[in-house]
Amino acid sequence: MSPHPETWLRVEPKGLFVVPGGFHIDPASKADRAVVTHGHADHARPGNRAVMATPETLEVMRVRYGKRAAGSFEPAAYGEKRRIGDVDVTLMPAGHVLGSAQVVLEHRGSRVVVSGDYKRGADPTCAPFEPVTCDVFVTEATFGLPVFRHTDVAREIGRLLHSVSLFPERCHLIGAYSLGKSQRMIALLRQAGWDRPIYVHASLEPLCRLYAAFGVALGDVRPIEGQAKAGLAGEILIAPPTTGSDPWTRGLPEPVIVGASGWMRVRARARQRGVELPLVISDHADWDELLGTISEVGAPEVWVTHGREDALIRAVTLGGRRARALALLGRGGEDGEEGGGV
Amino acid sequence: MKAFSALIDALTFAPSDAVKLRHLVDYFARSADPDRGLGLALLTGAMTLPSLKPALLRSLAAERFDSALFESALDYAGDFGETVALSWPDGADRQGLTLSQVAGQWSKAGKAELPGLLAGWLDAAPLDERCGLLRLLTGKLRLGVSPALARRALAGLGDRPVREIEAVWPAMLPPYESLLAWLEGRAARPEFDRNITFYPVIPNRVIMSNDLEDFDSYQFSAFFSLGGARVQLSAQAGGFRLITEEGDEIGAAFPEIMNELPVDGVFEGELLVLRNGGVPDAGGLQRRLAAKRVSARMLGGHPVTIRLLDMLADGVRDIRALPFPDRRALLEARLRMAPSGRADLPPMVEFSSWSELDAVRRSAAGPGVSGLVLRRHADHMGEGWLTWMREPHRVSCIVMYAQCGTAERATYFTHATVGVWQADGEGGRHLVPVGKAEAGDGPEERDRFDRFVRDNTLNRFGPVREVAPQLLVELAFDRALPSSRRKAGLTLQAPRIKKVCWDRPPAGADTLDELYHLAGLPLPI
Repeated sequence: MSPHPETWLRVEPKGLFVVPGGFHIDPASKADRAVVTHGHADHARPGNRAVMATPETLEVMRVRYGKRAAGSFEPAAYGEKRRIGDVDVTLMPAGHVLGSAQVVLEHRGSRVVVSGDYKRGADPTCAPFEPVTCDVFVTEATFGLPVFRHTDVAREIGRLLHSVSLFPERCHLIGAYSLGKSQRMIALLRQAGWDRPIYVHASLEPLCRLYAAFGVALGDVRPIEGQAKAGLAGEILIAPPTTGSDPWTRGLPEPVIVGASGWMRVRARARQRGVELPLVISDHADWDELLGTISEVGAPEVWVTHGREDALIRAVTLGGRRARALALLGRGGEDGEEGGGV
Repeated sequence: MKAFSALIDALTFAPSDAVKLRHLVDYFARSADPDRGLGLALLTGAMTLPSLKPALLRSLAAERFDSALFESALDYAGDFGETVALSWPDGADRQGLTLSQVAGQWSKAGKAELPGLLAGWLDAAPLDERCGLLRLLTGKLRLGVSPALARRALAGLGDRPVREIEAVWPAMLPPYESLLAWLEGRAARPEFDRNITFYPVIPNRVIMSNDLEDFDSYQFSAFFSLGGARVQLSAQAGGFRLITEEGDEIGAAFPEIMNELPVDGVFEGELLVLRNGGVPDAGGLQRRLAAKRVSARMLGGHPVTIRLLDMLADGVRDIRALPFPDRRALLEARLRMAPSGRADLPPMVEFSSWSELDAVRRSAAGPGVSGLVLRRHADHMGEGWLTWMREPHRVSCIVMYAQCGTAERATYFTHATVGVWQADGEGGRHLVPVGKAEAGDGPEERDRFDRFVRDNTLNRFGPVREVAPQLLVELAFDRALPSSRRKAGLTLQAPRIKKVCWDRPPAGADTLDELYHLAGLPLPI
């Protein structure tokens, strides 16, 4: 009889601990061994002794943390099975950002898949989510409410380009975090035919270069710094999220503040963010996609973490599967407030 | 309804009228007749639909959704209609809805048919249209599109002056097909009844003392103004219209004026809410102007009167060619014949020279007087009303809070809340806010003020910063009117910062009692 995963997975203050392997997954603070799902700051912390992750994730950590990123790195490509202690570990694509992975754990005949952050929507910058059957599926629930419906990303890009043509005397300033969303926005714009240079804030440049080094075509990407700001009318700019009252935006020609995130779906929240053009473009699964993925993976038991557990647990239970919350602390740093995720 | 839903989203987040205009003109281009005219009418309030009762929406939600899931969703989103629209199951190949279909069927449906009708629409519509549909039916369309803004958008569409739109507007009905066809160059100008003489609203211009140098004082009449809302009242051939300076029709919100004024003709005047002692209540008037429909309670609590300044038509006789004193005499005669508790005539101010009138202006009696209004006797050039504001009062205040300004000042903390000292009854004193105004004339002072705020922040409340009470400013204002809603007990009209006094100590600021005295208001008990 295979041991039930609840006997060999433990929730600790640092995060999820895999007992027979002696490692944490995405530990919130320094750990001995860590398997890291992706490079976002609330999942990939510096200072672990040994880190296993996809080559892309490790490179992101090196770019962000430099020498103190980790004691030692162990790259694992998608699909390569590794043994850590008494556990077989395989990283599979999660479709969240470049290098993002689900962690497949196998121990004495029972299999658990930890999804990390994931999405099912189209993204030219990273490998798409691959469902893996298992006994327990540990899923994120950032957008775990029936009101979160992301819909078609190409249409949202169309709305952005329409706004650019409607206001040629203004610039459009997209607020996006430096890992994942900004590169996806650039790639989606290129796909939609936007050939002009895209201007990025200095904090975005290192990761844009990283994406390009891994073969993601971003086209002509230039720094905002050094440009005559008044000359940026009609252009698209990307920078860390701002409400337009940051001093560095002074001199920009009447910027249209664009918010690109799943939170833009709900009007009250979009207004809170002070955006003029809310676009619903997210790097997480929406409500339908969470339920659809859980169904596709087909695990008889689902553990819900990292977001709004209650509603998702209820919906999964109504659908005839076992579900419970896995309380994990400390998420929600980089990707914005309200439990993380953009 | 795709374009309409997109438009109401864009208008929700539009930061200015200029941006709204751009979206409206774009909407006309992206949408077809009759939907686009209907959309415009729904936004301006020219057309309204019977509102969707909350109970109906609640029972629909209870039928379709698991209640616990719906509660969690509603908790987050906050808006019932939006939660229903977003949570509604999606399907492939939704053909969508049209505004004419929705507007037509909703108005005609019987009470029992409504739930099925709504559910059918929600099933047929993609997500964005569902959201637009529920906003429309729940009446959440106050997006700042006044009839005046709509006419500016139409003028933009046809690249014509707004005056031309205003001239035909009274005869135009939703969905405005003939109007839109003319503006797009597909048809001739719509016909309107040429027997109805069009009386453009007399423009109003604010003048400064030196503007009068070129005028002869004996060619003008003058009255005191109480700063009411300037309107034109048109009572002709059984029809009443009350129109603002911008050309908006507001008669529906002022039944007491429309119903109780027996005289026929076209008049110009100012609307006022007057309290005891003839003191105008500016806040009360604002509330009346903002309400599209008025309740009995509002009528009782904020009664409106009209102070008539001029008569342009006596019955159907156009008297604009007569010199002003003759028109005034006719107006006086008419009101003597049919006096009304709702209308009065201000007395004319006697003067024989500008300097004499200036002396009157400076010593203007009464706290409610906002200034003088001048009218040229023979106004062939269409100059209109000339408003000569009274000298502003000045008070020394302390900067209490600051937040960022708008547009090019969006990154500078120059929008200041200022206050004066108030004794707290125990020998000490604290600051009480009296108004908000923009500080920093010119880029150097703007930078200096912004730096001061950033360097002296005591506390942050969202975008507002509490500032150490060390900076004195000279605040000018036109009038101070009593207000029960303000901590200070009064509200200042048109406050503006004349000077930032970098070197004066904060103890030099005025007290609230001194402000009351300056404004000519009795001290509160």
